[in-house]
Amino acid sequence: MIDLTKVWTILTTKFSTFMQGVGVTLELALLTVLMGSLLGLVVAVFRRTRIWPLRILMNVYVAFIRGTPLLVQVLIVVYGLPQIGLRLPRMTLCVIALVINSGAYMAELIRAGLQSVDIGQSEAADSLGMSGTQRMLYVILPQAIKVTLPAVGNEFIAIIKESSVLYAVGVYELTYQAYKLASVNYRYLETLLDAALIYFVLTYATTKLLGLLERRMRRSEKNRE
Amino acid sequence: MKRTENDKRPDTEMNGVIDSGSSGELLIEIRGLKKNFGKLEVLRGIDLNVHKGDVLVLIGPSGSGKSTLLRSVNMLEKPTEGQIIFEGTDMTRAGKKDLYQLRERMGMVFQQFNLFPHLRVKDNITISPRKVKKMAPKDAEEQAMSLLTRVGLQDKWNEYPERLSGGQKQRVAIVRALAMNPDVMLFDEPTSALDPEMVGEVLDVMKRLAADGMTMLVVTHEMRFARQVADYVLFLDGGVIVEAGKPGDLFDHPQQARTQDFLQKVL
Repeated sequence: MIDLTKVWTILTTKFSTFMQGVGVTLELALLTVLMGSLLGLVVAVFRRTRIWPLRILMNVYVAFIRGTPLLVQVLIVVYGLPQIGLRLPRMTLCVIALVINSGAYMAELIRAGLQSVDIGQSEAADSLGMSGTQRMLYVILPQAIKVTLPAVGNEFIAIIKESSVLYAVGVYELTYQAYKLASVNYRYLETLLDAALIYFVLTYATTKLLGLLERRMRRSEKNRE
Repeated sequence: MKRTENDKRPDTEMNGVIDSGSSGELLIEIRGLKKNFGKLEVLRGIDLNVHKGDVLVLIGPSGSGKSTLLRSVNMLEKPTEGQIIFEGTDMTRAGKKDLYQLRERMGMVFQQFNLFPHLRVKDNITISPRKVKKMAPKDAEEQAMSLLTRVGLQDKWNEYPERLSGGQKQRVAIVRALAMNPDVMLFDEPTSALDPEMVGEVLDVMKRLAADGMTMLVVTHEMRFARQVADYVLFLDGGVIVEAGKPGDLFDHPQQARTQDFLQKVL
């Protein structure tokens, strides 16, 4: 039987345990979104290069990551890398796995952003004698990043949720903490509902916060002098 | 050469190369220029000399290749065949770095302005002098301010392009090109995207520029401007220069049936 009062009492009595999990989850998500954006940026830019082996390599990377399960990617990195001698802390390996995964999705988002910049912008930069690098750096990228920013916020929310697969490799993020609690108190339903509730609060609050930021950005753009 | 067969004006007959015959030194030599887009032949052999100080106006029906010709001059379109020799260097064979440096000396103004929307007016103007020419920021800003004052937009220094009218945008775009101190200015239908009441302010800036001796290639539908300002008018149709001459000659006594036909429609 489900005992709804238990949902509440477990949440309140084990609050600090849940919050430890929240801390790890948010740390993972923040690190991933930051480094994943950088990786995605580099990949997206290199996918436009004239150096075709690099371009193909980047395309293969994006296709491969998007076409395989995150859990498999995590297992490969977390158990595979130490096997070939890369002995890093578990948490670091997890961040690497998430960044590799997120980088591919970010690359797609940033690519769309780059494509949204009008061709006339490139031509203007060219006509002013800019090199390909200068054109990208001073003209295309700043405009593409602005277009991509809202999508990066959504990616952050996605990572908060998807980082729960790391429970499988024993990282003390929110899902792992909840599962550990449940396996002791045998209240799987109530305890995991608590975890779900916390995830929901995190993602919902982030959505609202990002919406607010976006609106403020748009408003300051209209009023800027 | 087909396009000059029936053309009796002596200055267009030498070697089939269109030449204004003006006394300024030779700045651009276009030879045998062809451009295909897939199977479509947009330019079918252009031979043209541009002298320093010339104001050449390119007219012709849409699809005649006049914009493509202009965009080929600074290699925004890569020619399929032929040469573009600018100040002694063949741009079609130039390496990337040389091409960038050659483009520094060619300003271009676009129909859609193409200002950088993320940069303030001052940065639109100074970004290339600073980053490409490595000009000191202070010098670049001083120069930008004096150019901007010349087109009457000094009070827009800190604005973003979206807060400007079309005519103001185009004047800033002209200043942005001038800030690189070019030897020639290319205008690709600079007034075609403007509301009618703003055409004048842009043409005025161009007229002053021409009067100051700037070498200019202008693609336009503004026939009055062409008549007033051009040293030489080129009529293009079907990817070739059908007829060329001084504005008085070409507008008042067109020799070719196609030129007559076109002028009848637009005048």
